Amino acid sequence: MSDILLELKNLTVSIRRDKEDIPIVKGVDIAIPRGKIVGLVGESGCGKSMTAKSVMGILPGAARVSFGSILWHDPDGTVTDLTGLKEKELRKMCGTKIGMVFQEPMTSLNPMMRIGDQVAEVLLIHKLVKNRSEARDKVIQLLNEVGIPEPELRYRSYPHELSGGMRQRVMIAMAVICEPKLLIADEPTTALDVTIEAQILKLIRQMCEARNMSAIVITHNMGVVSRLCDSVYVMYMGRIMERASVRDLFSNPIHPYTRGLLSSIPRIGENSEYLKTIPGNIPESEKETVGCEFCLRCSEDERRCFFERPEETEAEEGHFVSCFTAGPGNEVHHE
Amino acid sequence: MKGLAGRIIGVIVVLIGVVALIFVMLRIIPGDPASVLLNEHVSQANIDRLTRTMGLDRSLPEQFFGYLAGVLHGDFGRSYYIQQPVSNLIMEALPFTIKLTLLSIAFAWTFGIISGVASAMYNEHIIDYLFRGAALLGISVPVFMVALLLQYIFYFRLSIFPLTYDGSFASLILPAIALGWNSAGSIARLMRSELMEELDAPYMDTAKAKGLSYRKAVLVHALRNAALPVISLMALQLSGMLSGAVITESIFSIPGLGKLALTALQTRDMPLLQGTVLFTAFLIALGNICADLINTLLNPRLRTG
Amino acid sequence: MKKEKRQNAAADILRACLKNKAALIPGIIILIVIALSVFGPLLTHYDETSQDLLNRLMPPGNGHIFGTDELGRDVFTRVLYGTRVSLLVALLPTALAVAAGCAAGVCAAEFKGATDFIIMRLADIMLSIPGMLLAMVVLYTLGGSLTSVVISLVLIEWGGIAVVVRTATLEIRESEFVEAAVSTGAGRFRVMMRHILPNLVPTLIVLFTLNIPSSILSESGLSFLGIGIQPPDVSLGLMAGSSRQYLFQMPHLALAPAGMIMVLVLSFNFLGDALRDILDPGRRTL
Repeated sequence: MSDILLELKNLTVSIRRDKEDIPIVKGVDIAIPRGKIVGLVGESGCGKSMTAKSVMGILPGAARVSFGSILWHDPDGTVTDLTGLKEKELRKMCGTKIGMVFQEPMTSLNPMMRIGDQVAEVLLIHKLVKNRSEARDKVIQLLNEVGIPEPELRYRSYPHELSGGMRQRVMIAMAVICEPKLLIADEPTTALDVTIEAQILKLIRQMCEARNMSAIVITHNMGVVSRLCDSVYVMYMGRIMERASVRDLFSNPIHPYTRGLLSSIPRIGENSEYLKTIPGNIPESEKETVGCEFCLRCSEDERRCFFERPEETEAEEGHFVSCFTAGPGNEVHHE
Repeated sequence: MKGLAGRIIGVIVVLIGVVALIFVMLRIIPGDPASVLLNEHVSQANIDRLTRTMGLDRSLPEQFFGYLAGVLHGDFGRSYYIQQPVSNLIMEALPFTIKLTLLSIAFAWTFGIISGVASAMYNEHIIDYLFRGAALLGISVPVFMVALLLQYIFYFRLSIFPLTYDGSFASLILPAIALGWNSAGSIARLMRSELMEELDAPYMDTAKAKGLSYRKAVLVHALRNAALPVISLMALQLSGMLSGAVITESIFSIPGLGKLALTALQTRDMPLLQGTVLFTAFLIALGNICADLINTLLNPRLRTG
Repeated sequence: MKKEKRQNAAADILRACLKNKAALIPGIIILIVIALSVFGPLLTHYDETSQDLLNRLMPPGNGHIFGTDELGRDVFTRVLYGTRVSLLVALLPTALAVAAGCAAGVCAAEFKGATDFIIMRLADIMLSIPGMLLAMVVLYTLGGSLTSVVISLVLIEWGGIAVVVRTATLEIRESEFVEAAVSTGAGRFRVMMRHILPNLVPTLIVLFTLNIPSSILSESGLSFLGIGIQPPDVSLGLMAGSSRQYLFQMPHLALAPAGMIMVLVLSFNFLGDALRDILDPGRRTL
């Protein structure tokens, strides 16, 4: 049995605009090992959400997977390409094998439906229970497990009657109720307070460990990555810039973009006059660049970055980076 | 339910306003109502007697409060022309209008909702264009044109339905379609735009991530959220329907409220016209309160907060 | 300088309309209909009221495009003249109702308190009487004529417009640029004229276009019943109503004017939809 659960191979997602396909995810390779939590980190608009949505087949209207494959490895060794599945077969996998938690727990729950019914719906549509009352019992048990007080009472609540943290717990319950093998969490704590964030991260971790479930955590927050993930992919403008285990990445960030992300985390006790940021903005031009996507904002002054795209190289064991500064014969600068 | 009590009080205030407005508007008419009613060769004594029996010799405020008090007891005065209490005439006409309106509401809801949902689900598809075209045609055709076309096709050409109302259910079908046509069009348009908006809502992604098919996600999740504004629109349409009922009832000879009001206008029967107009305003107020109630019952955010 | 800016805005709207097929096509149809009704007398050598009792109820053809009616009048000519009335009824009362509704709505939103309460209750009162019946009350008092139809239509429509304008005004008032203007000490009147009214324009244009169909339909309904515009004036609704009795022998007598109404209303509805998409005054206009 392969120890990889899900593999994105050369995944390309394009948006069709004015009769032109504009790639927003550009040939991304990601592998999710069984039982591990993988972080996908980058600024907003870098394509990380699109990557996640393409797995679930819920890309917004004009976007579609234009190239590459999404391979699902079953324990018995069969491999399924999710991009080749019919809509109906894909829906069968969603909820049962893959669960998803969204960013905004208020709008991601149906405001007109009782939360208990919304969780129970997953069981009912996949016919995993015999009847409503069995579904209800299961839901109440799980609501209890995700830390919702008085689950019998809360079963009948509407989303607006719950706090943001509680709603996100409901979302998590909904995602894991069918015991999926993979949890996709798209900015699960962005809309929450810092204290609630810690609780929710802990809950996700617990859920994964208790169920031997893998997870993809999409975030722009390096702090979330450090607390939750085992390994991490850094994404910029639709491309993976660097990937490594969390420990390696934090102790030895190589790509200038990763270094920028890490140094922009405010730290307690640091005597800094102002918040460090990465200079510049994400370029607005949708034209395909010839060189490195990050060249315009990069702190390194390297001429060829503008004309040539760096290949991914292994800087140290299990630590890959797409940057000329990491290539052989180049000094890796540390501050 | 405190909000509801406030609503009802507001409605009562508005209704009193309606009484006052109609009362004044009908009385700024130049000339003496009694002499308008009787023909030219009647002696002044007769005119005076009628003026007295109709209470027209009193001052306008006196007349108004007298009338208002009467209305509160269900007394709308006596018809000049038919010589019966207005309230009796209204009660006789009411069942016909209710039957007609209910049937056309049923028609409008069924067709409006189905075509609105279909055209939202198959956005930019040929189905969408067909239904959208039909809906736009629906709101653009005069009621009388639909009615005349229906009569021409289904009575004259195909002889499926009777030409005018004869008391049977079948004879109500054409008028109901004629009257509901417009509403079906506007319901379809609103249904479509509301549903289209809901289709982009984040909870639709959740529903699909849960494993619901697109169709089920639309019908179970989005429709629930899109329904509220459509229900509110339906209440607003009651007013348009009662307007249309004047034309429909006249074309199909249905002895309902609209026909009664038209007769009142044509025979210059002021108390009857006044009574019917006020009564339709009551019906609309009632419809609005019902819509509010339904909205409160269906919308959890209103129910608990 | 300011005037130039406003002209640019108008030109922008016009340019957007010309580019947008959904606005262009109904716009062209409306222009054609207007041209037909204005230059109608040049197209036909008949008179809209002259009767020819020897040639009553003639089928289409024989020099009469739509045939003749029960008094031997040329139906095509009468449709052209009737369209004039429909267009007049489309534009005049709607414009008056938008003006009245705008004034009432802005005042209600601006002065709040008792003014707001009274204006809005008045609008509520108007809105709780079905339009047709409200018009019948006016027609009882004033008698059937073009003037009383115009008055009824203004009375029917201003309330709904006032409610929308009030909401829109409140929304604009809350926006930052108005707050900024108020904080720099701009007077109430200045804020109203310089900031609120210009921003209401898209809403008003859409309201105007979308109320035209209901004006046309109400007038035609009233005239159809014989209580609106009275002969010898010509109106499409009146024509349809008076030739109803010949529906089965000569359906075109009623359907020609009714079809003209439909073409007009459909075009204005299309145009209103397209303008709403172009100007996007927000969801409040429905």
